[in-house]
Amino acid sequence: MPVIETKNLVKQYGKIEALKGVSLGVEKGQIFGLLGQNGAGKTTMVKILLGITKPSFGNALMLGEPAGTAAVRKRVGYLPEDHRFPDYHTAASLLDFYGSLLEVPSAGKKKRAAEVLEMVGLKGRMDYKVRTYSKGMKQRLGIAQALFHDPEVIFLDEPTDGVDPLGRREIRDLLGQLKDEGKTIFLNSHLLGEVELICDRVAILDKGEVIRQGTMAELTKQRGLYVVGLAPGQEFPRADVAALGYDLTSDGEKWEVGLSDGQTIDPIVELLRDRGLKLRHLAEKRQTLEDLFIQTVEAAEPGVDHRPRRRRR
Amino acid sequence: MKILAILKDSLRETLDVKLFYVLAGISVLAILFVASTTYRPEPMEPQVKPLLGFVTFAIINDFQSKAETRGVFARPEVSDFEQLDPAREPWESDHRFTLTFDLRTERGNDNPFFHPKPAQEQPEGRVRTEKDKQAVEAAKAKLAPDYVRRVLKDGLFFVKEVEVAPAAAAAGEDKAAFEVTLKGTTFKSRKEWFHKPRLFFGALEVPVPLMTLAAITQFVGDWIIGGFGTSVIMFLSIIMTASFLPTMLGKGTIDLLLAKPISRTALLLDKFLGGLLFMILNTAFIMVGIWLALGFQTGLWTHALLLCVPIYTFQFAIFYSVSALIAVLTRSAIVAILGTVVLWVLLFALGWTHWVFIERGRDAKPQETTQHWAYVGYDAAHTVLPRYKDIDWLTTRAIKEDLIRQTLSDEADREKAIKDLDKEYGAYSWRGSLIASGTFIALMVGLACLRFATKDY
Repeated sequence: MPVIETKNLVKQYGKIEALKGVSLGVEKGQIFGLLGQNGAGKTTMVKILLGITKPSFGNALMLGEPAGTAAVRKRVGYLPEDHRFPDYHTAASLLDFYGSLLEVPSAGKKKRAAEVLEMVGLKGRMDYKVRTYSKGMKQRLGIAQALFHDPEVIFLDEPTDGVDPLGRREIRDLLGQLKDEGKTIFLNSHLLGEVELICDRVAILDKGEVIRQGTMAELTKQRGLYVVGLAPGQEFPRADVAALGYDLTSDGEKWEVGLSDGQTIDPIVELLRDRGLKLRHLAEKRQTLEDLFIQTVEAAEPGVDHRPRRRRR
Repeated sequence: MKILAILKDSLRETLDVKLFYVLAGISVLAILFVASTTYRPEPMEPQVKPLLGFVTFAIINDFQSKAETRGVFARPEVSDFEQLDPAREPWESDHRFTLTFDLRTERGNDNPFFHPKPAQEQPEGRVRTEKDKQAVEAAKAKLAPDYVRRVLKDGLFFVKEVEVAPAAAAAGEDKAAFEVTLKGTTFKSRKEWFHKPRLFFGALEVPVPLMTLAAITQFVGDWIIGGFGTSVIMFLSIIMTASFLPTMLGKGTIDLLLAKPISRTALLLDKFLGGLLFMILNTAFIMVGIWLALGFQTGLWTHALLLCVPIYTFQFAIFYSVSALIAVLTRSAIVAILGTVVLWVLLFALGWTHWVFIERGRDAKPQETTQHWAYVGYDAAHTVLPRYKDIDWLTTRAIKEDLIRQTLSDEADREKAIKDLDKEYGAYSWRGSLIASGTFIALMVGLACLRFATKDY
């Protein structure tokens, strides 16, 4: 049973349709990435799941209950995009405040605050006012508050925004650790490279519609394209390979070999061995998530990113 | 407890605002100012001298009403004023002084009551006809000790007994002199006696008319602190708290709160209470401080001053409810401040005009057609809108009544004074004011909650 499930979710703002019948499913223990351009409807989707925004039509279930109810929100952590903490708080007092709203028992709050702040590398600054934090530190604090009550589902909207490369890696590791603990993570991000590294499944949202979804492997695999590289100084037998009926494209010192239907890479490997050439690189080429994203969105609407004009009153 | 968490958060937010410390500083200064103001009981002499002017006025009136003394004026001179028992308080002791009336005729002197120049500065060569001399003699005859005792007893209303004896030694040709003994006063305690305030522990005398301690307490507690002081606090509090809800509703902040398992109505109501907490803290601090300072300095523990804490908070709730509604609708602190200040001015003006033109005017003049519609309009607005000024007057009435009960020892005087209060403030009632204002607050907060609960963020 999916932890998150939406069916034909529609959200209209006047005549603008932010979501046009979105149906998604996220299984327990998955890291799910929702991709899309600005204004594609990613944040609206998350806000509907959390009850911050109400859907115009459709159903959304989370943890087996209607999404957005107080009971469900208690079991969910959320880091919004462009979040702003009241700057009169310290990290410790902020977590104490949010912990009270989340009904975390008073007895364990202090200990838990120290734990989560240590997880995100902020324990040493827990008694400093939030206004003294850098953007990256605020982002870490945002993650800490999302994890504070040990939620089952965690929504992270651009969690690495403003975080330095080392910090990003730490956050990626943390998300991996949470996944290992069985948490379900719903990730909105523009950083496709990172999504690619950590997500199990992704969906691409474009103008309120899901235009692709699947596992990372399914989406990024490019069937029939291999990259072949020989030892330095050895020349690739281009003419002989072409004579076998393969398409060849130079890629620097390597060659991309295109396979037609029914062809395998094995004849080329045998040819190279027969010629005494030393194979140094052989890999099935996968497209990056970024390639896939651009390709998918361009395909959905070439020219892209024009926005609906604001209606005149 | 989520409400406690939000109240605690509001307190933290309050303590983070610099203006709060400015307010606290103003409050501390006000309390220190009141605490350092001492009230010294004045001796009897300064109380008696101004009243002798009125006594003399009555005597001159008598002179003018009789043909034989017409044209004679009298100027009182007091000398050798003495408290007979210096160990006792002025209102407990007997006093003695010599009272000399310098008698002049109209032609020889301008009206001495209005031009009280000392005798030695009178113009030379006063015209004194035989008729004048006779009139002065008749006046002297009129000023018999018993007559003087009677008029003094009437004029010096707080003196229990007056004894008057002729003082021949001080009298001259145109003078009548008396030895006057004042025996006790009707005042039973220091609270009823006249005092003069001195600032900074007596270092600086305040040039104000003599006032009783009750009058001083009412002036300081109700007018200076309750009227002006809390208006300043109210205004600054409106400015400060106006940003609380827009900050909470700001993009990036509200998402974090709405994702928590708390209902939106509870969230807004708790935050609203947090704003009121700010006002309670401020008013409690200053009013309790003033109550203590005045209590220790005057001996009058005016508990009605403590009543001001919930009353002023309630008044603030009127404005803060509008601020909350505007904040939910616009998320702008500036618009919330402007809207609230406009309401404040409107209610202030409505309250005053209703008091002056309607409550006073209604009884004074028969209702004409044009006035009738004005009355209907004002009454309608007064009925529907919160009664900010009415609550002010009712608070003043409560303070006055408290002081009357504490200071007037005579039951009849007390009842009369309270009846006068009923007459003065009879048009206003706590019940009506609280119901009308409370309904308004509930309506504003209800609309704010409704909008907040149904809005997408």
